[in-house]
Amino acid sequence: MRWLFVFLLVALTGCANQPTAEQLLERYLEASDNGVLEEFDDLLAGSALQSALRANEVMNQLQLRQVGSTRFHSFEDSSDTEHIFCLDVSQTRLIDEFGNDLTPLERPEQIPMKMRIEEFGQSLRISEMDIRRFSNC
Amino acid sequence: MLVEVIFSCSAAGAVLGGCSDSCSTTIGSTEVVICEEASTQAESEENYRSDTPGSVWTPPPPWVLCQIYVSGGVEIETFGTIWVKSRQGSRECLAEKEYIPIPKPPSSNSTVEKISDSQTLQEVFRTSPSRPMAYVNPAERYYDENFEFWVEQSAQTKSGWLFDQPVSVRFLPRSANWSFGKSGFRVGHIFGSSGDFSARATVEFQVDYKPIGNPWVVNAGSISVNSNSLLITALPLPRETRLIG
Repeated sequence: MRWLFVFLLVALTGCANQPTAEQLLERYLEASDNGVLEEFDDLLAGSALQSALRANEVMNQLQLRQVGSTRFHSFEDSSDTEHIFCLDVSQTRLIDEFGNDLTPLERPEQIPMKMRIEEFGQSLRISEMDIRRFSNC
Repeated sequence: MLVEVIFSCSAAGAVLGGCSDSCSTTIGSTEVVICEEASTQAESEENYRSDTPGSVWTPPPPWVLCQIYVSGGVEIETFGTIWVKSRQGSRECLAEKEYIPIPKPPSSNSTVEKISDSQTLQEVFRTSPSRPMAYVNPAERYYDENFEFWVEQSAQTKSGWLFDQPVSVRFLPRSANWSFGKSGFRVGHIFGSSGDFSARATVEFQVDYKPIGNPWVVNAGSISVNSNSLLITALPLPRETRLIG
């Protein structure tokens, strides 16, 4: 009986540590907004990781910095591992080294997105993130 | 400054403006979307001022932006709508709005102005395989007897029109997997215990599609569709009366 209790406790603790898909996305957006690339390895994998690193590389090459926060809304589970949401970049600006606002004028500000969550070892990570084509936000 | 970055989307990519929709054919998990793009070069010669006495000029109806379904009209309702440039009254529209052309600077030497304007239009055709029907025979019998299950194995072709050109998608059934663990379009199954059971098949279709002006693209992907659910009753065995002497 005692062992059963210990087992349950361990199992529950394990579950509590596992973030939900929504929390994972929040953490990723926060890391991306703040340029904390070191956290990407814990949050992303596969093509999602490559895309995120590449976008930051482009930003560095162009000597741009992001101000403001990326947000999301309308988060839904389309399956156990796939989730859809709208990414809102309307509160972000791209600023160059001289302080000029170089945010692309034609940039879509509400983007229908989908992401896939996969388990890598003991942790969940976002393995794919892409635009949800022909959808609206 | 134009930042043009093409990659699968990320948060920073979206901030850079690199997450934009592109027009191509997508085989999703449940549907196929064919997107075609056309650049329209609308050129018209319109007589704005006539210096020739006696000639009567009737102005054509103005250009408007006409909202139609992506199926190309207003009759067949589809997922999305598009705006097309057309003469007012020349076609039925879901809604109309003013079209503002970008005319060339007027020339004082000519009475004829050419208005040219180009725009890129996208039209999409989206389709999915119809749900295959599954059957069982009989639906009720003793649990130790064989139930025969089968599911439709017919190819489906869905066609539509993009820019007045035909596009087609063909779904070819390739495999069927039953919820009780067996595979095949026609299978037998013994439940082995009594009770009510539900069963359905998941049919995997090979997707072929034919875009505008190009040959068929064969085996571009696959889509799995669940059949209807079947309710089966596996009856308990009848009691036997034995005389023990």
